Amino acid sequence: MPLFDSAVLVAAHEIGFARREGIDLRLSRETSWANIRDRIAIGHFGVAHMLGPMPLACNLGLTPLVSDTIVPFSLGLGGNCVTVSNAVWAGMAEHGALPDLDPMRSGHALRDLIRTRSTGGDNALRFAVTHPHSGHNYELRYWLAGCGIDPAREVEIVIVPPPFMADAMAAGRIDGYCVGEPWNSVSVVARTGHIATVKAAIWRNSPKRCWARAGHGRRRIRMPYSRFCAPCITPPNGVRTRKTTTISLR
Amino acid sequence: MNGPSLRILVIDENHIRAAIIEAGLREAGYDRVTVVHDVSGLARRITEIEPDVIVIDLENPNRDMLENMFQLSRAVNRPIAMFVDRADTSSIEAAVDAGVSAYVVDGLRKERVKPILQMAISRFNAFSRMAHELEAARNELESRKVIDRAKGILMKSRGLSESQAYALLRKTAMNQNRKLADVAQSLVTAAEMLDPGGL
Repeated sequence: MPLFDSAVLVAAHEIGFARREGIDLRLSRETSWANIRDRIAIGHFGVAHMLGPMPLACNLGLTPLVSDTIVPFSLGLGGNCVTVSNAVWAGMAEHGALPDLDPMRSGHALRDLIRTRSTGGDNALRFAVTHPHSGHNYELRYWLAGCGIDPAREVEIVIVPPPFMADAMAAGRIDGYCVGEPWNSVSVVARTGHIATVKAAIWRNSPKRCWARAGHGRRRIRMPYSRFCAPCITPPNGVRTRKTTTISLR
Repeated sequence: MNGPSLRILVIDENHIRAAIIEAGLREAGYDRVTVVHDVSGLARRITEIEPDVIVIDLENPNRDMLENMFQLSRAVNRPIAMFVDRADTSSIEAAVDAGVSAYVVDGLRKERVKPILQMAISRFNAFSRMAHELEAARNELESRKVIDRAKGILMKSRGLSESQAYALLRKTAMNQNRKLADVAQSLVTAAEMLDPGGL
């Protein structure tokens, strides 16, 4: 999926870490988590980039194609943000929000804005997350609830694919969203949104996305996961990985 | 036998492929078919149409959004789930391979859904074959043009006949173990660089 934490796989392929380990890594670009879920279940993929809660959902039979999925590696901790539109941010600022990413201050400002809006008869604010079985969904709800906003009643939560988030908000179809990078910075750079808070401030070191593997033993793959990651964060490859990923996401 | 005809909604951003699916469904006797290309405002359309079966292309980036919407009773009256016949994994694999799937309303019998899914699979496969052949034909045409230009360059700069120029290109390609079109492309590029105005 076109997200920053695909960097490890992209770098392993593009810079040749995988080849050095004797692994023929073939990457497939996907447009929805649903497609990844289906294709890993029927064995099209040996390993896939997945949202943290998805393998749990696969194993619990909450997905159409039940598959035995295991998670050998976590790709990221934190890294998501909650971004809101300029209009919502202006309203939050009136209720005391500051650009300091403080989850309590921002959340309480959002709560006060929502209460003011509802007495004024305005529609509920609409927030987007990327998938029902996603950390984004859970942490957005957790943050809202923690700040006194009922996520089931006082806001509407919809699903939008990550690359469409910034456009959907710029077009006024959603008022805010919770997603991984780079799709928060995209709104900030375009001056169409403000980051209200970040996942690291809501729940430190919580799992985000992972590599999942079909565990039905059709293909046994030994992947030196951590050896793929180490070169990505060590100079000079660190810089190269960022460049490669930036190019590949386009 | 099968009761009243099912209401079928086809969601495909590809207009041509959607038309092919629609034609197939109508030929098979399903006369209540609606085609939607754009997913914006789809929740309202689904409430209006109340489809029994939704045929969707799996590459649609909005699938996560659609699946979530199908499960929300607020958006649709009856829950809709991906059609999976657990006794028949091969047809599921065939569907994912072809890039199409069916979502059906709760409680619909699988014998009624299967022929629709099979028809969609075979039409999707036929469409990819066609697209593939078209792509191959375009490439072929493109290479022929480049080879003609390369021949022209050789004929002009080395005073060769057309068949001599072609033989030289082919020999070079064989010696270098490259495709004829690639060698021709290199020659055309080099000639453009050496003499930008002369071509």
